Amino acid sequence: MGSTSTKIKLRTSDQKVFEVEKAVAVQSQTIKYIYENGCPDSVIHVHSVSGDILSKILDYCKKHVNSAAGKEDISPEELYEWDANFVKVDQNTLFDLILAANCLKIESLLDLTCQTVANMIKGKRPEEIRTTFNIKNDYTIEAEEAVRRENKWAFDMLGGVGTMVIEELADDTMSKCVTNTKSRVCVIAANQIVMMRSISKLANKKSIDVYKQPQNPTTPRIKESVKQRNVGTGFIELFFHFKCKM
Amino acid sequence: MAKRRKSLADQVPTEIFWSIFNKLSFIDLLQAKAVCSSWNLAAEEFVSKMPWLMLPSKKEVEEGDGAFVNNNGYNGFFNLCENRVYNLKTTPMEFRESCCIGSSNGWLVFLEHKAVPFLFNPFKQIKIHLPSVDYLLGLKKMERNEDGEYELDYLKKNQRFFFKVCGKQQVRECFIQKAILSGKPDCNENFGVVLLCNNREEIAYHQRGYNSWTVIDVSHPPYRDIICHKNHLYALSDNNSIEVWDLGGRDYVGRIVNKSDIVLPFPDKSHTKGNSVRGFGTSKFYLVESCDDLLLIVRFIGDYVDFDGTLLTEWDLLTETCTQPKICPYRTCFFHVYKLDFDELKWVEVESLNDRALFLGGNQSVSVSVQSFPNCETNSIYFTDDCWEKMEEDYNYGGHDTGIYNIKDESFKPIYEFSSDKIQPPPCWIIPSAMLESQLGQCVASLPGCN
Repeated sequence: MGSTSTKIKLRTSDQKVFEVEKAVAVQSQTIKYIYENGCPDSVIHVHSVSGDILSKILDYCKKHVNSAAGKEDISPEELYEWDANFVKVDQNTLFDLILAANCLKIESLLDLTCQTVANMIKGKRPEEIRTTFNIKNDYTIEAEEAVRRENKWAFDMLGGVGTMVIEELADDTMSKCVTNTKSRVCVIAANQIVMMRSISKLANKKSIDVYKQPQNPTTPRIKESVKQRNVGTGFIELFFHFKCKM
Repeated sequence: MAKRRKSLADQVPTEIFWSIFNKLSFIDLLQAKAVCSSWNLAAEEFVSKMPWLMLPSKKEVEEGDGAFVNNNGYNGFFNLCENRVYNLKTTPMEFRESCCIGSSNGWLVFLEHKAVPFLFNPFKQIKIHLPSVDYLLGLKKMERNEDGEYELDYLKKNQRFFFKVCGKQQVRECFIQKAILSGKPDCNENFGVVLLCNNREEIAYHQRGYNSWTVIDVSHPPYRDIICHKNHLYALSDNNSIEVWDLGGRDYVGRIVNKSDIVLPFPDKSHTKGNSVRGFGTSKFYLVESCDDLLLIVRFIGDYVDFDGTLLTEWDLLTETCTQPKICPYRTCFFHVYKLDFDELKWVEVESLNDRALFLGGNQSVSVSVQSFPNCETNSIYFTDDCWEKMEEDYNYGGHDTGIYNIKDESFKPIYEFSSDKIQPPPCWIIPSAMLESQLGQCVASLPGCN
């Protein structure tokens, strides 16, 4: 009786002190654990959360506690709206909220903020995602192409450009490929597609000759004809069909 | 003041990253993979653990007349996590022209006309050719005609050549019953392919890098099911024995070594039940490795099952008043699940699978943890239609016997519904190997022959 009017003091990383009702503070499992297992009268130090962020979090907790307890007349739809507005913040604040919700173990807030980030990713192409979150593209050319190839399947399904191309893998392990043109060739790995970049010079060619370097240097080099396909994204990709020489 | 962050990936701990990715759909995960290398790894964790049901095109099934189904191909992939189908814009020619003979470790095995099998990974779009099986199956000729049927010239028991025209499912019934993989072709690792073929009488093995199929010395043909586990091959025979071979071991003449051969009594419960439904249907048997246990699954398929579940015979389909026989497709009626007791060498009934679910059908029989994907039904068997001998007998049905069976209350649930029962090619599970690896080896007992 009367326990709901108990106050808990919280000190943040920037030395701000907040005094809140116990029922609000224990929305955080971390605070709840400390309060129940430590000294109830002392100040709980939330050292990884700043004052601004904690203030927002306490607003969230208060709103949800009051709504659940019936202290505030708010319908589920209105609470949902309130939550949606709550996360309309800049990215830095959003990530601070995620980290704080994780640290303080407030499951519903963590879920809400993670869903918000997920919504920022949904429906976007990789370039757009990188721009949104300021992410550096650390792929090598070869690796990026390997991943793009998998994405082609997705494009197929979304009715995008490109059709499903089925690559045949050679049985032998080819490790090097040399062209007779001046363009660069990248070999990703044995048995994977070989991609070319800077192909503007080849834009008008239908096919180029590629010489395959065999394992045994005494074997004559094998010439393969390479077909060129325009997949409509600005890249002209060349697919090698290695004939299986068993 | 808040600093300008360099990247989300740097600032957020991995488990939160995963919580975010957990909320993304398959398509969004594929896009996320292309963002940067750390996102690739995180997204791959989710993408590589999704189970799929490969389906023919809804349009072709529902608008087709049931007669010319051999030209149909797989076109859709039903994601069990999201309960939605992803369709390809066009059905690849490979799917139309080839017959699916297996699905194992996330790879599909197809047989092309001209008797050449190949492995296919639909997600990475990679195809790996295997040596021809013409000699193995005694096929002099295998061609596809314009109706999509196969025209075969084959040698039967060293006698004369037969000429046969058959559909894809008959190829599966007579020639290659099941194809499974040992190992994973994904990372250029050493892997092998095992075929149960020639009316279940022969088992053939191909090791990556070699040019041929080796017929394994078998003791108790014909076989009901084959599985691979830790580079060992297990075969369940019609006489209730289990044979085990070590695919990595060779004897002094280079043959694959047989590690053990156990004959087991047929479980009583199924024996009794089998007697009571004799003549009303057929039984199929599956062998599954689950947490280092060996399970036997008995599946009873009624030949003609009425809408209320009554088992009928062919005579019941014709009544005096009807001019046409009643349409009663075959249907699975129940499953019995047993576990092998290694000490007493007998099958013990399993009341509950606890936290496992089984995937059975034309694929390699597998067991997965219920935690391995969201919405997984507990204590259930996910099954597809693998009744090759019945699939082509009627224009109205075939390939339809698919669903989820709950072991506890013996009830059935559909998984994906077409408005027609003639579903060709029949749906097939694709269970990636990453899902199987997530099972923790808490059980200490190991299977015989593996020591």
